[in-house]
Amino acid sequence: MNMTDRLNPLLVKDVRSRMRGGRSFLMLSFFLLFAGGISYLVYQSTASISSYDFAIVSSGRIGQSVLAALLVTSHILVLLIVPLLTLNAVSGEVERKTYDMLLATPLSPRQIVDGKIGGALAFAALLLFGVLPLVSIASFFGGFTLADFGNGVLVLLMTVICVALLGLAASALFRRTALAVLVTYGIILSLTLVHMFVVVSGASLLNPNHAPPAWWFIFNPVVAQLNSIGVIHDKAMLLAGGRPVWYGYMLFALALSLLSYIVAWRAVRQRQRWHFGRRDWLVVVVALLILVVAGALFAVSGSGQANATSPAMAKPTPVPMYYAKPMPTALPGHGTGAGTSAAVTPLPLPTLQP
Amino acid sequence: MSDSVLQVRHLTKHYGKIKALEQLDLDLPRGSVFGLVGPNGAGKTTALRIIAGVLEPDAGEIMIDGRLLDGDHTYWAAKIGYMPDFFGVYPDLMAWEYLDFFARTYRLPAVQRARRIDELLELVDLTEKKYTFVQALSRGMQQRLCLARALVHDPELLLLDEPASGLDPRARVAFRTLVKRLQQLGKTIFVSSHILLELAEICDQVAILEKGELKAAGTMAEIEPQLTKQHRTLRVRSLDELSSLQAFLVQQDGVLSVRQDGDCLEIDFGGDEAAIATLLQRVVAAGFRLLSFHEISSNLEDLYLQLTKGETQ
Repeated sequence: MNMTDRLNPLLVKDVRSRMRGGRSFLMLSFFLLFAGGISYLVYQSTASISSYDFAIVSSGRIGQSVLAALLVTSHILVLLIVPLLTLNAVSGEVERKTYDMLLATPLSPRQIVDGKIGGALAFAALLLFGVLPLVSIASFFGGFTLADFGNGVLVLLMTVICVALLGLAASALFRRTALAVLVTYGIILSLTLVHMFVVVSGASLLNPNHAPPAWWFIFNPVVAQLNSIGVIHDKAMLLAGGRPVWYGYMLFALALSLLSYIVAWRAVRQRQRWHFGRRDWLVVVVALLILVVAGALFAVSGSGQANATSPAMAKPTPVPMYYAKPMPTALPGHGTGAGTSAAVTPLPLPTLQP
Repeated sequence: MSDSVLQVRHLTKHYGKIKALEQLDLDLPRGSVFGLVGPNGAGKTTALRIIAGVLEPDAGEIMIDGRLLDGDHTYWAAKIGYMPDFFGVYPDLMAWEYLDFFARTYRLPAVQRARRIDELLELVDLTEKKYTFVQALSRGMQQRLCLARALVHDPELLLLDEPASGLDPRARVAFRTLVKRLQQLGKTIFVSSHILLELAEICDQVAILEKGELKAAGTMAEIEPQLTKQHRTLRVRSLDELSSLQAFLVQQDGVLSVRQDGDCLEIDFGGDEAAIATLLQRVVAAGFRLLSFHEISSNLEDLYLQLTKGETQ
């Protein structure tokens, strides 16, 4: 038996059918054009600050802005596109009348879930690899370390896995694509826009003079992404022990992914009605434990950071947000690159000229 | 090894208050073509889905080669090839890729897989369509491809749920020929249909299902007396008012229904010849003046249609 025989059959099938035709090409093109376009606009606006405000904008700041734009745009696109790759994974089989044939094969429920998620993640990986050349352009300007980039990619990958599993779980549980779409995007919307609205309005209602505790932000993938690359970076975004908010997000996303995986696994085989058994309880306990540990680690930070001002709550300031973290510098045309930027002395914030 | 490939005992399945299957018992002789016939909603698909291992029964036992259907799904999947009534296809795959996918699920090595795919495409006469996308095949071709898929792991028992539905007459004939050929290859075939005559041509044995219950089972020659015993049509002529005779008849044992047909009454009667004689005795004793009282002979299809009213629950 050769190597390809050992591959999950669903993974092979999904890759075969997904990579075929114009759909994948269009999706990849759209992804790159959008991420590249937004990054270009950010580059233009960052570079133009110097001409409007007579300020010196370092190459490093341009690099960090472009990287932030790339990752955040990719993150938003991932939130929108990746669930589409799994939302009809099981419900599509039911609607296409192929599900019974699949269940009659020797594939176990876990193999079905693994194959489906593997196929979706393979395509998501293709999208993200496509962005790499754009990242290399950002690295030409410098302004971020490999660690910054690595953190950002980690958060992005966690989100990819999490939303892919969320879509798969909804698809397996509801067996109807329309309902699965509604629930999955409802959850994603709740974790992003609704979350920000609740945090901002909740904080101003409860205590208008204080920033909300940092752990409030661990549920929001976009905030975690910005935090991971140092764009949103101040005391209010530190959890207990000085850990940044994105650490909390990683744990939260891990717990949600684990839960989604189990739900998908248990719901995928319909020959038995789902009885909530000992194994399910064990999984719930493990997922809850992760959340409790995360809470224990980070919840205390709420009081510790109460007096700090969150960027999300901060009053408008003439200094752009990306100046919040001291930047290494490099002259255009003399890019320090990601690996060397840490050694460069930070440049003072630009001042307005009379 | 047992003479029966498949043994079903007391198989029961309810969907809430709906009785899909009730105490179903079946024995499928090795190498036979066994037909399961019944109207829509009789429980045929439920029975086949349970046997295929995609649906859990409420009660009962299923044995294949004497081994109980239990947690070892792999063993069952290897023994059974299942073709559902409504089958779909993966549209972005070519015919050979479609078969390749299912062959991979049974862990067939690459060389064996390629050979098997070619053999199956030849068997179902689709060799020329090997590199055609599945959605471009006609309904009949897709049906044959789906049959090839069910055979990809060379199973002992084939479960075919309404395989001829939606096919034109020519494709039906071709399909029947194919089923016969598979039987010659040593397969045991369990096929369902709602048309008795369709199965009568290819099946060695038939079971009739109605509202989840087995009404009759056996060879076609054995089935006819069983059906006749359960359902007969009697025709009565009388000099008296037909309405009063009708009112009298519907109250008698064994009378299922009575309808007027011209100057006669037709009685749907469930009972043997002794029960008919008793009924006649009662009618005469009640003072009705009869001109004639006789049984109308029915063919097998009529008996089946009368027995299975097509009522779902």
